[in-house]
Amino acid sequence: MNERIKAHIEGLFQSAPKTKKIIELKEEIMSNCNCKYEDLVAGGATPDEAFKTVVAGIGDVSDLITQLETGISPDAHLVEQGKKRSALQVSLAIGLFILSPSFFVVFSWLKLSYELALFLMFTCIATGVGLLIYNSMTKVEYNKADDTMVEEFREWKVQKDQKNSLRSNLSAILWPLLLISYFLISFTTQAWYITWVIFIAGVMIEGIISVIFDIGKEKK
Amino acid sequence: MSITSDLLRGHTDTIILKHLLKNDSYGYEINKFIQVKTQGRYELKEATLYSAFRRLEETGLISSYWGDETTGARRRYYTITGSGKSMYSKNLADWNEAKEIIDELIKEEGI
Repeated sequence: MNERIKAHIEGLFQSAPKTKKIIELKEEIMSNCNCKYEDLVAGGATPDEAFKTVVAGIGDVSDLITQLETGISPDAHLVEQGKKRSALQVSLAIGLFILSPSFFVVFSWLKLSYELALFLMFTCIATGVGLLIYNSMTKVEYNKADDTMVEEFREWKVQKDQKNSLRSNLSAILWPLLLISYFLISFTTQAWYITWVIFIAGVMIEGIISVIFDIGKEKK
Repeated sequence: MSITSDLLRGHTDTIILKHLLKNDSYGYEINKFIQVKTQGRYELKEATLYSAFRRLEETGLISSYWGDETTGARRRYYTITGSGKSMYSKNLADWNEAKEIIDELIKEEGI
């Protein structure tokens, strides 16, 4: 790499922000100018002539820098839409979870068989779980609007939030599942005096989940 | 010459797309090609060239990747996309039509 050309291009980019796109542009211009310089020297030009020709050929880069800086991400409103859709799905799923045991109350009041109530409850919960899983799989990723530090921080934050939301989704699934198994086991065994232990097991599982997530975090 | 270069600048995108039709290329190679093809009568400024690259990349007509040169600085290569190819054909047809119309309007009678 010719040092004179390198210094000249560094000078052109002196006041430009140090974003990824601009550093890449600088690298690209340097590599191509160097190519041109070597080509000219190989063609018989003196180093001084070659340098002058290369510098004259660069032109005004300030417009180019502004062009790179103002490029906005079209995905900003997509993220917003995704948030709304995701909120709707989560609230629907939680609504279904809360609703699911109510069939037992209604059915015992109507003196109907518990089997149908159980079936309806499972359907509700399965739909809710499905919604939560679909929601966490189709989450819109945050695309950086530009390559500054602020944007990198935002991207990192979104990724972190997604991790946390997976964890809270797991908890949201865990408790209704425990509730179902509580009723299921209790009704079949009639051992109501001991089945409440399930909830203590639930606290333990919750603890294990958070330990797993913490270990995952430390590995990163 | 200034009118000619203004006219040419309007076709920078098409010139780049045309060059990428054959094979992937990088900035200097494209500029060199323009110079050789025009026998040194026309050459793009680096700034014009890179601003065209960015514009074409943003609109999805070309895409870029970094080469793995073992010696010297690494190069950024550009490759034409499917929509780039159809844009090229469209631009070429437009240009041919414009050329015909202008010829018809400004040529001297009887030649």
